[in-house]
Amino acid sequence: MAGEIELQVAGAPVRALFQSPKGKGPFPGIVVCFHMGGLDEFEHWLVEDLARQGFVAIAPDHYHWLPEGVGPERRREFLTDQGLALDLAVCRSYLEMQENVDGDRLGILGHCMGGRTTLLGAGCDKRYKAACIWYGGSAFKPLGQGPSPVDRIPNIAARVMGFFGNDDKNPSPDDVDKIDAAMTKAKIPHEFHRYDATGHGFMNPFSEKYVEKSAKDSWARASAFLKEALGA
Amino acid sequence: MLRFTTLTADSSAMTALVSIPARGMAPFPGLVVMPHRGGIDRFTIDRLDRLADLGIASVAPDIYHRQPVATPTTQGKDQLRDDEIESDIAAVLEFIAADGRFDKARLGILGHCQGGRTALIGLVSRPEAFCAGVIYYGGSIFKRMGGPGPAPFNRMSVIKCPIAGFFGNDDSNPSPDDVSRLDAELRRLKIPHEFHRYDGAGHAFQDFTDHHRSREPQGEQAWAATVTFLKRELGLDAAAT
Repeated sequence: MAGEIELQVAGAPVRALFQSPKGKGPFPGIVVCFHMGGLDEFEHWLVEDLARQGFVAIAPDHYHWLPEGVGPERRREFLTDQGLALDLAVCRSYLEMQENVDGDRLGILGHCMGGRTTLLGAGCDKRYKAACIWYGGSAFKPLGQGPSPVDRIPNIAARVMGFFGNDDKNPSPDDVDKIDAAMTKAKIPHEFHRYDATGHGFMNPFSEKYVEKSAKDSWARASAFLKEALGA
Repeated sequence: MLRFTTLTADSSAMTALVSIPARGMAPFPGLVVMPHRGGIDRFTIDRLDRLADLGIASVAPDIYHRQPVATPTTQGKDQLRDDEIESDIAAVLEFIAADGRFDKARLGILGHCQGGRTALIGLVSRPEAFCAGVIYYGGSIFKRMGGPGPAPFNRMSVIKCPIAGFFGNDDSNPSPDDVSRLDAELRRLKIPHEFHRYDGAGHAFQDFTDHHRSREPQGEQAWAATVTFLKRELGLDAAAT
């Protein structure tokens, strides 16, 4: 189980998972953007394994923006890109303040809704050097005001790796083609891996959507990429 | 540094994870790491990372590459064939031979579980290539998988290098009797070997991702003994820790 800390975002206390590797560091840091299920066992799995591999990992609870009693199924009514970006900025600051983190070696990653948040985060913040996106959908529309995550692509400074199932409907293969083209046009170094016989949510071992081979292939590729891009 | 690469085995594209130490100078002593039943997963990545920290370069091939995406490894493991595994190992050895970061004269092979069995296949099919073998709880070595021919156990007379083996005494495949049989045969063939057999541990005891079967104390002890063995057999500089 990953450890938990409390952050402050716009004056409100916000839970976050946080785990460091063994040893003094300094280590590269990774902001983990959660999937629709929130800070559940899958997010613990991610944060733990990233720490084991040599990254300081943090995953904020974006659902602090939801009023008491409101569940994730109504998240689009309350989450905004501004709010999400603020959560990420606080996490990034928190990482940079840690003695065991090298603030010049930061990455960001996420699955599903977190894939969209990752694209948003990389498009808002040039300090990330690496971004990994798993099946981020609904990326062509903003939540609240401002450009959509896809429209922010030209601002990305990170190298990007993306993982998508060819049976996914959101993002569909067409959507992925468009995102790929937008990155190519903006000259963002990126590599997409697209898996046959694989739909949405494939990397989550706790979900019935899990596709073992695609999941493990994507995690191994992402691990290799992050180590190389962030020098772990 | 960890890198994905694609090799070719029997005209099929086989991905492999390549791990190179971050410090020190090439060429590095190397290990072919045969994946456990779960394939190239968090456990495999963790072993490659630990080896790199020791100054050992390694390659882990995806031996499930011939199978459709939708096949879970629980089924996939039963579809593996010994002749195909030999081809996969040959492809890895070809890659290593051409890659200047690996010291071919200091190359071993290591595997857990199914990877223990396939590591043994490597040792018996390409004995000239390896100077050390490490087998963690490799089962089913008395039978051949796929096609005619002898089981790995029956091919061991060609092995040229020392072997370290790690086994849990509560394991049923390989059982303590199986391990004793393997021990006796290696002694008969005069193949230098050291076996470490742990109480309170069964199969997969070193696999921290297996919440039921993971046994951290025995796992860490076994890894420490593995490191001692590899440092000696792969000629690792004592200073390069």
